[in-house]
Amino acid sequence: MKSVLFVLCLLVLGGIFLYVFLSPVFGAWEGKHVANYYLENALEDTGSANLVSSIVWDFRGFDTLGEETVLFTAALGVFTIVMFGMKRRK
Amino acid sequence: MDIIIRTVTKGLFPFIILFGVYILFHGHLTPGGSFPGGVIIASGIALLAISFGLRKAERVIKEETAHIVEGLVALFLVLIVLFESFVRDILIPTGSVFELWSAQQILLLNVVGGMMVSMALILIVFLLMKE
Repeated sequence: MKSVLFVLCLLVLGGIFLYVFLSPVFGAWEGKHVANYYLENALEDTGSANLVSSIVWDFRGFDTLGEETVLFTAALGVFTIVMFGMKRRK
Repeated sequence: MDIIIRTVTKGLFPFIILFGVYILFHGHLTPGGSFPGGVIIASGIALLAISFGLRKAERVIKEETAHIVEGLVALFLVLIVLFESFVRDILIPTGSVFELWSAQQILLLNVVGGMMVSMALILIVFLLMKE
């Protein structure tokens, strides 16, 4: 059972490695560039004068939600560590 | 702490909080946003806690209150993201640029996210000072 799991993990990792290795080089892709779209259309799309804010909370909203989750988890981790330390001292 | 730090903190504390709230509410108009505004508010509370001690800082916001508010605000943030189309089309219009009540959901998300950032950092500061 354990060896099957090990082989499965190895296969998945190898697949990811091959996929990254064979995908095109970063920046060499001749396709649509999304940055120009932001510069030209973000003001009309969102009505926000601060383009950074409009990207962070509109175009990349779920990324920012993940960032807030990281912060929430950090506070939770500190709380857990401190509470465990207090309990042990008593 | 030092008398200099105490005096400066006593005079400056309301303005630090005001500046943080201003940055939160103008995140879609001027540089800044949820994270800088939240950090400024949290640093004001941290300054109070360092100069006057934890007791005085907990008179402004208690640790339990920070817990509850952080959880509620995180729930609210997820709800706003889930019902984003309702907020952006019905609650807050696109409006004209450089008006306060504009920019669809960005205004609301900035305020709510900044509150969550400030509560999390206040909680971390309080817990580490208690330790």
